[in-house]
Amino acid sequence: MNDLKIDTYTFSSRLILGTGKFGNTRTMIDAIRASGSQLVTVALRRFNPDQPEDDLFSALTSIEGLTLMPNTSGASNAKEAVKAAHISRELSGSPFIKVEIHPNPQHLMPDPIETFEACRILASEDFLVMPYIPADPVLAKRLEDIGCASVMPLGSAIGSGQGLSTIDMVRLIIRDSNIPVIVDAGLRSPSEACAAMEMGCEAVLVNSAVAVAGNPVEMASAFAEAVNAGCRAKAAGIMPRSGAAIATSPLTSFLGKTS
Amino acid sequence: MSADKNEKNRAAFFDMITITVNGDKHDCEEGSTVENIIAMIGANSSKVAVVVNENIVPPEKRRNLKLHDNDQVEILAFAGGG
Repeated sequence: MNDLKIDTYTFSSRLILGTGKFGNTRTMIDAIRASGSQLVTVALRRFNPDQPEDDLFSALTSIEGLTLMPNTSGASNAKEAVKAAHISRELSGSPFIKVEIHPNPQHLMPDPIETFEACRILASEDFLVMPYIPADPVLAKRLEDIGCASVMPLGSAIGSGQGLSTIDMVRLIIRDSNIPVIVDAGLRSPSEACAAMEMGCEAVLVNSAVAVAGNPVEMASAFAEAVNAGCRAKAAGIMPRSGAAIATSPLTSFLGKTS
Repeated sequence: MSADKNEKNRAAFFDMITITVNGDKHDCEEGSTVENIIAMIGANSSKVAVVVNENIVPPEKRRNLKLHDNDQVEILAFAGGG
């Protein structure tokens, strides 16, 4: 499998893992190791003195070769997202920022206007901007034009497990894009991650499907294999569809037949 | 209460400031630094970001930056998120 390249950064894994919803930090760390992921998302929150076990930073920095991609989750507008990005860069030292602005907790759909504005500012400040967006080819192209490092269209609503419901629009985004397209949100099973890779995504971002699985560590491994398979299949050249049957065995010279 | 004790109490009162840390009000001694407040809430300075009145305070400035009455302090850390 070829490396994933985002700007000047190279990752040997094309599976990006989210760190939310895990039952405990140990399981999360084991799942990250099993996934082979080298890029993981984190969220910024007020320090909670009642939960010192939530020392996520130490746990994640114990994994060699792991890069953090803080998100701006919780921001409901561009100004809040930019502020969160500045604080996150101060804390993590990572240039990556997942711009995530979803003002309505009922559906968690990203706000395209505020997202665009936040990305415009952060790209001008040399962040590697990775916006979580609706599967909108026009918006994706506009974000590429202002210097985003990738675009991350949703497969379906965050945490919904409804899979690649936006598949046709994601195809258009991939077709027109010159930056990595990464499906983010909604994937439920490894087969969906494989399908996303087969259609030409550069990577997939998965969180809930691993974190809430019966066995998160095993599921992380399964997603890694699926992403690998999809990537290799895409590179190998997937056969075209045909409207009619095309025989795989010779239809002539069978036993006593003359033609 | 003696006049002497009254004087001491008044001095103690005027030596205190009230700041807001992560949304909660705290009384602390005038002259307290950002590093003092990080220790007060039990955080490790190398694992948190600090914002005072909307301004990010980098680690190298926390030891000497003194807080003032009504300062708004946010102490933030990474949590799990997708």
